Amino acid sequence: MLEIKNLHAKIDGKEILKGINLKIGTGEIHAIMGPNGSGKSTLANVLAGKDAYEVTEGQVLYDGKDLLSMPAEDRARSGLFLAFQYPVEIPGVSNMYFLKTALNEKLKYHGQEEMDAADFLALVRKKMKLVEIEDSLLRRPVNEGFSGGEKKKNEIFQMAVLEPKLAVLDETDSGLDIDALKIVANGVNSLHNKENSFLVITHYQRLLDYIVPDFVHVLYKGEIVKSGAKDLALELEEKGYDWLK
Amino acid sequence: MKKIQNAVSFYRELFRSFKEQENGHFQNAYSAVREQAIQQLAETGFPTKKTEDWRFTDLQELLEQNFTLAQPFDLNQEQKKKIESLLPDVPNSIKLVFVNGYFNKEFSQTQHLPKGLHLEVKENDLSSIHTQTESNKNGFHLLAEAFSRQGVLVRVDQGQSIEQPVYILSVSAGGSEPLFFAQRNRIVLGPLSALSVVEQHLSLDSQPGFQAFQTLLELDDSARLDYYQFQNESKTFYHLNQVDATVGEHATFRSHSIDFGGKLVRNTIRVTLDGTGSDATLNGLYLANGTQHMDNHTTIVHAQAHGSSNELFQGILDDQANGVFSGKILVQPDAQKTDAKQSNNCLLLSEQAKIDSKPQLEIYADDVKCTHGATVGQLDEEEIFYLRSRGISEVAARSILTYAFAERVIEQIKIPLFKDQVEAAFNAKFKDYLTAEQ
Ligand SMILES: Nc1ncnc2c1ncn2[C@@H]1O[C@H](COP(=O)(O)OP(=O)(O)OP(=O)(O)O)[C@@H](O)[C@H]1O
Ligand SMILES: [Mg+2]
Repeated sequence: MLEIKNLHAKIDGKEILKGINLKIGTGEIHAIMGPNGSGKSTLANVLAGKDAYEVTEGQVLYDGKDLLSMPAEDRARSGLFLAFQYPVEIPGVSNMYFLKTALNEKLKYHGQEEMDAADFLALVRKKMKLVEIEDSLLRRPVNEGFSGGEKKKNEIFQMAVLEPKLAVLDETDSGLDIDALKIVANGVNSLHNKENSFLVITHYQRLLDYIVPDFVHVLYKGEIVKSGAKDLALELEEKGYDWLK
Repeated sequence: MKKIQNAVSFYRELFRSFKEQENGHFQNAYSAVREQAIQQLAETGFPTKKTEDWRFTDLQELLEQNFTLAQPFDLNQEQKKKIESLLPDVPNSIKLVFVNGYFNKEFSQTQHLPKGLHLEVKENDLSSIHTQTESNKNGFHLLAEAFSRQGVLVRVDQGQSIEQPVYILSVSAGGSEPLFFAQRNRIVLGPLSALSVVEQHLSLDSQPGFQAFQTLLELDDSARLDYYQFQNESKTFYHLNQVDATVGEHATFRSHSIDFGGKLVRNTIRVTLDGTGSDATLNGLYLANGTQHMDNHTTIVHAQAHGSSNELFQGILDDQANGVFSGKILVQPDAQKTDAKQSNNCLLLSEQAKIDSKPQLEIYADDVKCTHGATVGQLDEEEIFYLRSRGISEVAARSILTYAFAERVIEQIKIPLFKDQVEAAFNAKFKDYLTAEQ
């Protein structure tokens, strides 16, 4: 599904990613943990196609295609999804309109017929239940005035509607109360199947009790310094990151 | 200075032909007003760049141009169809149509009126429209006084709430010779009455011209007026517009000035909150590209206590377009407990686009709440990326965000039909922006 080879990236002249190697197979769930500032969000943003980052070396293959040469919108349309650590507020653009546009862009890209208002509404109803998001939130402008937890839920709701092949969740668990955490995890688990993959960035092993990863990686100062099975998360929780230096 | 003198003599000369053309029709109570206005124009002249209120608007081209007096105009089939498409297709909707400043009976509907609403199209004798005792009249105001041939007087009786909006449509059409015409309207709302007025200034073709337009609005106690001005004239048109509103006790005035067209546009809007607890909303939206120049000058005078005003102007400028926003809030000593908000935001979509923005608060009462804010900038790159990261193209993302910016004003339009029309015009013009950039 995804193969990252020796990826180096800079922002404002400062090198943040220093040679990342990572392979995510179809149907797998990977977790990335690592101290603050180690480059987790940078990696997520580089994958999503944010222009501010300059890739200086390396390659990313997504479904066999050269991901880095694709514009951000084409990455999304071909099934890459990033749930942002800090989703932005977009005043004046309603959630529903935004999501319908996004979904139709994706359908168009794949040569499929666009969805009409009624079908879209039916789909939204179904997905709303999945993440237990309130109707009133969807009528409001994208994220405007949403609480921290509501913004995170909205990311997962968008993911549910867009049904990505590869979803990168950047600290979707931070800021969620315990019930919301379970709802989000349930949402992810019910979307997960043999055809799609997840990359879950988190600081807390707690999330991984609900979303069980096949692999856990530690990102430290822009490099993946250790990879292991699910138990690695427990070990990190106990010992912190110092022992990895 | 010399140029302005030339312009003054040009309009004095034009006034002479105007009188000849009207061939004695002007011997009425209003004649003296016209003569006085021309006389005063000779004394005061037109504003210059040194005139504080006109500093940012260059009138040179306008004042150097020679215009011809507009004549009655016969519309062809195509033009008629176009006008029809601009009007609500609802039986007995209230419509007043002017073509090049001349009232057009064919498209107007003033016969079937709801109870309590009175409409009169005044000709030549505009005495009942002229009530202003204002001293500081500028040259354009004086032109409107002198040259307005016709004008609309709208009155609503006490306690009558009129549901149907009154449509006033002023279109220009014709050839290539630049035309001049003027109009004065007056709308008077009795106590506890309510009315909506949609006033549109549109071009059927690329007819160049200059229109001096002036409106008086009077809201008696507890009246409510929703007043929409939409201007989408050809890019060769000079649109000089003035609105003076007086708002009585507990009355509500909502005004929306929307400008997409014109070469040079100036709206001078003055609202006096003249009764306790009166409320004014002043919204504006301007979308300019090419070398369009759009100038909004607003003054809100809080004369009595417990008044509130809320002002929102959103501007979108592309190419070499210029915008001016000057918003003055004057709180007089008696206007305690005033609550005034003003916000002016401008999106600059190109490096050569420019906005001059000047908020002015003059407060002579101590127990008041006045806030103002202005933003000038580009679209937010984080927001663009967010939309792109969901599969929306960059061009679409930019247009969605720009539309959202305009929507803050458009969403406040309470007449669905008219709102659709503004949305369509916005999208049509904005499409121009986007294709021009490709
Ligand atoms: N514009 C910038 N200029 C310089 N440094 C930057 C810039 N943007 C981000 N950085 C730095 O890049 C580093 C990696 O940031 P990143 O957001 O990827 O960390 P993270 O691992 O996601 O941290 P957290 O766990 O706190 O979310 C940080 O040290 C940050 O300060
Ligand atoms: Mg981060």
